[in-house]
Amino acid sequence: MTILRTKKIAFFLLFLSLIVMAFSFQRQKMDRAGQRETHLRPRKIRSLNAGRPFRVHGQRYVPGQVLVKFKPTLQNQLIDATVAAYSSKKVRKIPRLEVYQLRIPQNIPVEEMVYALNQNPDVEYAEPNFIARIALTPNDPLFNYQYALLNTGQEIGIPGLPGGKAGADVKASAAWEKTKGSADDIIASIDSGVDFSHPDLRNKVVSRGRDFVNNDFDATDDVGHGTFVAGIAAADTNNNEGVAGVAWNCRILPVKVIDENGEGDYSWLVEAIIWAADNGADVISISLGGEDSSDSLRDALKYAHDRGVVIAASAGNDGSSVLYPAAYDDYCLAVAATDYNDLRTSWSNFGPQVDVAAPGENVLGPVPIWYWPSRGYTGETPYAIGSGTSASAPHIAGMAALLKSVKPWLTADQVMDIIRYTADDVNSGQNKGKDGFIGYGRINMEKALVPIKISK
Amino acid sequence: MKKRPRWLTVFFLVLVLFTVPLAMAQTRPKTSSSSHFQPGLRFDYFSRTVSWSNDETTSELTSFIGSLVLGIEFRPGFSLAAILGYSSSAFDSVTFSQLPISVDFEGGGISSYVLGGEINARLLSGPTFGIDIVGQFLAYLGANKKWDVPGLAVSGTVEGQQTWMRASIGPQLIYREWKDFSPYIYPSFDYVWGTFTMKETIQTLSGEEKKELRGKGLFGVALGVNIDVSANIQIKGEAGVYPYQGGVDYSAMVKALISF
Repeated sequence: MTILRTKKIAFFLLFLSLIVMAFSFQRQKMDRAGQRETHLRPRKIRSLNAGRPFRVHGQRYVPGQVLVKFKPTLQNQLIDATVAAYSSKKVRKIPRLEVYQLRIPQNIPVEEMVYALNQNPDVEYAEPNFIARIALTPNDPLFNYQYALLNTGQEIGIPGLPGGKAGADVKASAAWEKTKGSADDIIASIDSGVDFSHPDLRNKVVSRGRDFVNNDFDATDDVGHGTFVAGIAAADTNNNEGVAGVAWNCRILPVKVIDENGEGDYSWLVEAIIWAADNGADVISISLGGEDSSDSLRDALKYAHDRGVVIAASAGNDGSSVLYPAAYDDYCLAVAATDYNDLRTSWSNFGPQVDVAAPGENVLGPVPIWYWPSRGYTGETPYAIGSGTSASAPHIAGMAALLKSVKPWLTADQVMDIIRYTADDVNSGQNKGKDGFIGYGRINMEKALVPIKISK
Repeated sequence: MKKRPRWLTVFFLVLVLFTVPLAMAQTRPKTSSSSHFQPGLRFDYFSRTVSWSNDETTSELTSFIGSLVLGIEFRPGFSLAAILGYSSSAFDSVTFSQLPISVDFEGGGISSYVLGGEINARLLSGPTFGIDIVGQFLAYLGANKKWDVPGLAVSGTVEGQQTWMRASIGPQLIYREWKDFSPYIYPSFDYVWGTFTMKETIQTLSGEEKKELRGKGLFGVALGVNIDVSANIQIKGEAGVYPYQGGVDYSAMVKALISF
């Protein structure tokens, strides 16, 4: 009996040892790779517009022009007859939407002609050919880092300003651990074009794009704004040159709708959106806007949106209501601006249409090679610091492109919602939840792209 | 009134089912010629490193199972048993990257019922050694469990549901020289397969991802022992290892059976 008991105890101990060994030899969990940090060399950089963001001003619409959409049942001969009845001439037709750009008699005010056309039962809608404007113009010289992508609390570089708050960034470096995007994913930058010779952009453009200002296929930038915003979205990255773009590997489709005066009419913008959607754009970045709503602009946004294109547009920099097209909430993300401390900038437009925010204060980006020499500054690097929601919107466009790279099956609405819901509510102290100032919050690329841990 | 946990109900049920036959068994001598009813209790632990279809990552499935065994020994050396149990089962670190917002699941165990069966048939029987063929099957019936998705600007949840099955079969070489104490070695082929479905609902965003557990078959070996505590009560203990390229999986089992 004693022997049996000893055997039992011995087995029990043996058995217990086996179980303990089983647990102790369980394989070690892999440590997650630490967050990658991207450090940029400081450069001597001049700033755009002395930190003053662009404000909408000047003429609201193109004189002597209107945009008209006739009822689909109206035949071409009747359209011609109707146009002639109003003493007008067709300038062109915006394809897909069947919207006509008309030249009206000089002696008839645009508002009166729009009113008269809208009374016609054969007209679906008529509106002025509004003018959108860019959000940045160049100014003071400065040095800086790209705090917007990775804010370690470094000095922003503008005299008199404190350093930024660590973590007040879009978490780009963490998101790049998951994806750097794909060259198949294309961001259409609808703006003033791109400097095709810029070292940070020349290898990133899909083609020479489309120029609706000069009606050709060479979207060369003669303003500087388009190069700046395109570079924020997708500058050549990890190339030992200049700045990093939000979407490392995604490419840029330049579409020019802004002339050398920094203005572009709505008809160009409408057509540009449609052209971009038809020519492979997965994302459209629009860093411009106008105060006026436009049915044709809305229809163009819907056209692109229905084809799965994600559109990000700057809210505007007047400290007033959200500009169009950003205000078309169903079809595009309206982007407000925060600064290096995650605070909303005072000039960022607000309203219920604001979806999210991204850094827009003193943001570093490329400018055309000719930019500084043409202003008398020689030997400068082709980069500048600028402020405005113009700088904010391309961050969202880059993020959307990365999302499309990782999850190409997502609809435009889903991508928009992911960007909204993963934002950090950085002003929750004053306005908890979605608000009219920064929407759902400052975007967080890490949450949107890197799997969120579900713990016990 | 405080709600009693489900496992407590199961525990009481098992206790009643176990103690009644135990009391009966104490009053009846064991006979060897006829069929025997063999109820019992069984506790299992096992871990499996599994891979997922369309996924490069691996996860570890860990399961603790407490079950009631309802067996019948039709003749010496041939028995069938049904297994009814309750399990806490967890896959660690499963990434659901097809959801609108990807999640890395480390949410711990999901409790659910387990059904299964076991067959034991004697192939060879000698005074010193015997060889049985032993096969068993366990099915973990998936239950749902919800978790909040942390850190979002809005509220959202994910809801997970696991279902897996495990089958093993192999010869059991038993050493019979010692009275009431029969150690054995059990080389077996062990196969695990199943699914893990995760649903995500975050305001207007919703998605579902179903991950197929790529059939995981491993050859392993277990060492165990049958102890005849009395003429009617038998205890069985077993611990196994399942080596694979780059690691080892484990299993352990304790079972108490009563014959009457």
